[in-house]
Amino acid sequence: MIVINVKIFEGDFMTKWDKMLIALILVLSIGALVFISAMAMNYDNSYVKISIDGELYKKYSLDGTLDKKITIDTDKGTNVIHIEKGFVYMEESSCPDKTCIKQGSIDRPGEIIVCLPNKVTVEITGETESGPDAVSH
Amino acid sequence: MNTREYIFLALLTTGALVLTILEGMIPLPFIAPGARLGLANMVVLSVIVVFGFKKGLTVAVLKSILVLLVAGNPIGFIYSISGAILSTIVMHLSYKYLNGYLSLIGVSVLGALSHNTAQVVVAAAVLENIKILIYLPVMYIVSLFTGCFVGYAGIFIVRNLKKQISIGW
Repeated sequence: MIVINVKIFEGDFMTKWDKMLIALILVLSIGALVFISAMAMNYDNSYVKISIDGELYKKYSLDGTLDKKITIDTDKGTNVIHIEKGFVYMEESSCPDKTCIKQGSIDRPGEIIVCLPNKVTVEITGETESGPDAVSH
Repeated sequence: MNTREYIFLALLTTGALVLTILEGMIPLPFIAPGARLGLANMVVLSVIVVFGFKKGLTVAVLKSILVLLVAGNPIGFIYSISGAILSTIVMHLSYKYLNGYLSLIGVSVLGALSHNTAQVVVAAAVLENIKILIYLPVMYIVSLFTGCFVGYAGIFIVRNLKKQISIGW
């Protein structure tokens, strides 16, 4: 016979500290989300950056007219990235989980598609115009 | 540690494995990469509470290795094992030191948050791209819900497990 000392909580359900913890995380996360989307508004030009294994592979200017399929072949697998009408999405991937395809399309700076098994990342970055144009903007 | 306990922990580990496989079959809308229900966390949480930290960690690590063998996804294994180890440590510490403040729901929420953090940080390190951290806020919000659910279930599991052990051990 083993005596196991098990502590069971008096109330058993959520304590006020639980609720405070949950509220705190919720507020911080929503704040971070708002901050991220506010950051994405401040750009004039956006670019698509495709990186393999942390190194920049290709960079395209993202405007509504570009229609391009990029095939990436590495020793880890194959990915097909489609840029269309200002949106970018992963069209095909040889990875087992297909998370990158399920993620759908991205179009705003700060958004990112990751294919972990193939170590491919597709991110949209923004740049602010400088010079007289930016002022008159 | 006697044979009964070995067998019981082995059964719980198998339960965690089965829960992981089952949750993979549940179709969920895509929220963030790697966002899961974390049902197996119910098992790890109850083992930490009933059997202690070392056995909880063993169950969590064994479950990750078993999932690797079943699913055959070595990349996923790195993320799942780092998440499993960190969340087990955090759940143990918060159960030990914040007991009385946080119920199992709070402990499980902290576990879910740390699991996500470890996964995303390891992903950022592997891909050498810090921008992956942008997923964290969304994953945190999702893990609040899954963490509450897992903690709520954990309360009932611990209660019944304790009853079972006091009768049949």
